[in-house]
Amino acid sequence: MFRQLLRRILAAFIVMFLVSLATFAALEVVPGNAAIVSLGTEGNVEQLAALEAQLGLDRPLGERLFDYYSGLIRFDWGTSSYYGQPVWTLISQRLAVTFPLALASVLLALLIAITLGTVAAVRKGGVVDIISRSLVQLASAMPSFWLSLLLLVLFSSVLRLVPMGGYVSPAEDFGAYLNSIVLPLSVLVVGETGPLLRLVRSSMLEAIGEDWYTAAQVKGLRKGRVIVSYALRSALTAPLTSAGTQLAKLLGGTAIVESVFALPGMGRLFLTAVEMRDLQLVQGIVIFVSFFVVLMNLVTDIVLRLVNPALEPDGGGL
Amino acid sequence: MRRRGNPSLFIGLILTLLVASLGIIGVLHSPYDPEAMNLMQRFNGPSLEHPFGTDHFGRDMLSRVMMASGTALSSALVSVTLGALAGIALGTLAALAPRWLSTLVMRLVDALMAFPTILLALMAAAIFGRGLLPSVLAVCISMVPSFSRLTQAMVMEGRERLSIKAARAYGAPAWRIVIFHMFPPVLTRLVTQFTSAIGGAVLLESSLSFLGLGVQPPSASLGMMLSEARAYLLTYPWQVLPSGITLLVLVLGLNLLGDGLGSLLTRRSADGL
Amino acid sequence: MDSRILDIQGLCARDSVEELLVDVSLHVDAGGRTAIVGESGCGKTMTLRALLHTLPPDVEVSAGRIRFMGEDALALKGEALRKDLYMRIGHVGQNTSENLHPLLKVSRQLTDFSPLGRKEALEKATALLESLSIKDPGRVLSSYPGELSGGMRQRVNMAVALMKDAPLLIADEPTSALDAHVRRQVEELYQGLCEREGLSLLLISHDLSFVRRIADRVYVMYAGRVVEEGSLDEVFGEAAHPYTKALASLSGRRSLDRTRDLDEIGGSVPDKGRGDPSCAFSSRCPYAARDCHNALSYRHLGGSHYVRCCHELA
Repeated sequence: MFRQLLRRILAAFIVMFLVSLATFAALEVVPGNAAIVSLGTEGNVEQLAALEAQLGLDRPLGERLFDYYSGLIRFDWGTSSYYGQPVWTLISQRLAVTFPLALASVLLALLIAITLGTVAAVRKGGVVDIISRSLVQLASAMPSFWLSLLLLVLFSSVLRLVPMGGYVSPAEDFGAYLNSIVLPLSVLVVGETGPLLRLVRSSMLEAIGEDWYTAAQVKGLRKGRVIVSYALRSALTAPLTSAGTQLAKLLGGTAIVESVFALPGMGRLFLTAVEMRDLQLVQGIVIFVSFFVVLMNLVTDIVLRLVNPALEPDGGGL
Repeated sequence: MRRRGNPSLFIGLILTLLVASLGIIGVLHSPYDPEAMNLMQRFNGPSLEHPFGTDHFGRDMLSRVMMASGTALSSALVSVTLGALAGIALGTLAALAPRWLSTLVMRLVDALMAFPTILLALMAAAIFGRGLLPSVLAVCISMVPSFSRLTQAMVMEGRERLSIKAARAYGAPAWRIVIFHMFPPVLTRLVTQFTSAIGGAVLLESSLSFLGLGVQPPSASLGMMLSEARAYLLTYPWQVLPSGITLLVLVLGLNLLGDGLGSLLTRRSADGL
Repeated sequence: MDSRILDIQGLCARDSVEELLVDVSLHVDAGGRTAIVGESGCGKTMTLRALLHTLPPDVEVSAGRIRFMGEDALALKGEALRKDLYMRIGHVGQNTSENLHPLLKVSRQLTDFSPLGRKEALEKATALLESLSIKDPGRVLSSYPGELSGGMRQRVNMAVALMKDAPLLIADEPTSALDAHVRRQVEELYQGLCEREGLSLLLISHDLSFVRRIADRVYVMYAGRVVEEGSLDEVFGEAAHPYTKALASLSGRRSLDRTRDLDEIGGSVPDKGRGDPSCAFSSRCPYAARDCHNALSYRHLGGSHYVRCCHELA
């Protein structure tokens, strides 16, 4: 167990190293360099040279790579050229908006997926199965921005239940906060539930086909307990792992929803960074999100192993 | 073997063809010039002249939807094809390369898979800039990881098969074995993956153009039309309907087509055909 | 009033394509020890699955009835099924390594269905494991199934079946897939169980030497039908069906196992045409004659001995 844990952590570090290296390389091959890109067409030669010196672009590659990594470790992720603030400060501010939203949407999606997926698997071909599968099909084809617009028209413009957008911090006014995130949350839940529901259903069906499922029923255990403490126990491993990854992915994946509902979160930050060609910020967010993905994978893995010590070791994954 | 219908395939085909024919008709004979403005005819509701109404510049929405559908489908096809080819090449390389290299490649692919697709596409947009070509490239890059992982897994699996061991024993070169012995049996899985990827590609491309990073005005794309309609959400909410419904129908059709094709092909190969 | 604890009459089962069980009738006397023998695929386990409501989704019982302790076992549903059938039958399934949940400790799986309190159930489980000659029940109870050997898991499965003090114990191929040493131990355990007062046993096996030592009544099944039945002495002493003879002659040398599937007789159990009233064994039978292709009757040979064969061999 301990050795295995060590191996997972080592693998996680290798992936983080590769991701950061890839990010560094990707921005290295940007046509022109970061300074030219940031200045756009308005800069002159002096400005360019100054910015290059400021960003350290005039120094040799090896030195820059070393600086890059020593900065990463010290949480000194450079300064955003557009906002003029440290990248790490910007990220931590925006995280306060996005993280609760992402967490709530994944938890809600998980709850819906487990309930509907279990019923759909136990009563395969039944009403719940057919309806939930059709809804999943519809939800996975639904563009999140269009759904956002439709919800805005209905709840904001016609029913006037919630504001058109904008964000109120929960410390300021909790009721207004809830009002401002209920629509974005719904859009995210619609997007997250589909894949999780499919996963719960298919792994539940697999569990139901196992010999121990029948054996547990025949030995006289109540059906409800066979489903909950036997089937779900093994069927939930995959969906929970996936939910962990989904959560981490959402930290950067909410760009569209945040942009439609005017929420000042990570996704909008990234969008602005892309639009403004603020490469330092782009790099920072990419690295943050990918580190978080790796970390979440590690955490879900460890938690699942603590809950189910007999889980078979597997070599794959992150 | 009982014959069972394949409603996914049927419905998916109909929906996809519906939108595809819209796009094709648009290329052959568009009712109006999709870029021609008429400021006297702004925000006209659906009528016989303009079945989908007109937009904020008085442009005919049907013509714009037609143009946008064509762009959406063709750019998705191009980006998935390129992405699939790159992914297949990378996956094959990873499977046949020495251990350390293949581990490195697959770890990188894992990391890319774990990365939000929209973020990957946005990052590509940050590098390549705005416009149709950059967004095709962005979508293409985000297709690479899944194809390379699938290919790598299939080649590794195939290596253990007897016929391939035999071909190796006869000294056939690696590329010959890959092309003539490994690909034919795994083609069905690649085709399935390809079809289901197209729906995702359409969605991704429209997201990029919704965010203003894809097709640039005055050309039309489904995502951009929605982003334009958003400005008039309070006054003319119906403006989000023509392009939105078209997009939903197209993606739904492509997804169903992918599912249907998948179950058709797996059933076929299970029958040994 | 009812001397039979389990009574199956005219049971037929079929999937969408063909018949799997044809007119199967068998019973277990209260306190009796009945065995069903035959090659794999002959319908032994399918009969059991009909009783336990665990038939594959596309298979259904098309005719016949099953009475268990005076109740119509096929009609039971929901909570009644659990209380009146599952809680009264101890079932040791075929695939013992996969009948335990891999992620749950043995102690939990041995006690969670018991109507006793948790503490009493645990004490009972410990005592049961001891009686199944497990030296260190504490260690077994705190293990996960994956940490136990095949023989140990077999015993845990037996303990699961015995926890309920059920009047009927069903054992489905309890000795297959075990190595010789463990097999001997398990056989002894079952022999020990048979000494218990009032326990009825239904044993399914193709290990005839084991059946000989345990059963008092034997059914021979072939291609979804019972082809011969009688007391142990009648069936093995005066075997009347060529199939029984073949089985018996083979078991003299070695017990039958799945991999060899009676290859000395040649051929295998036919899957198709089980509903045909002629003899399904004729294609492999050394005595096959033209009469074998006519409709057969179930002939009474005296005592409780019946056979489904047109030849007078005994």
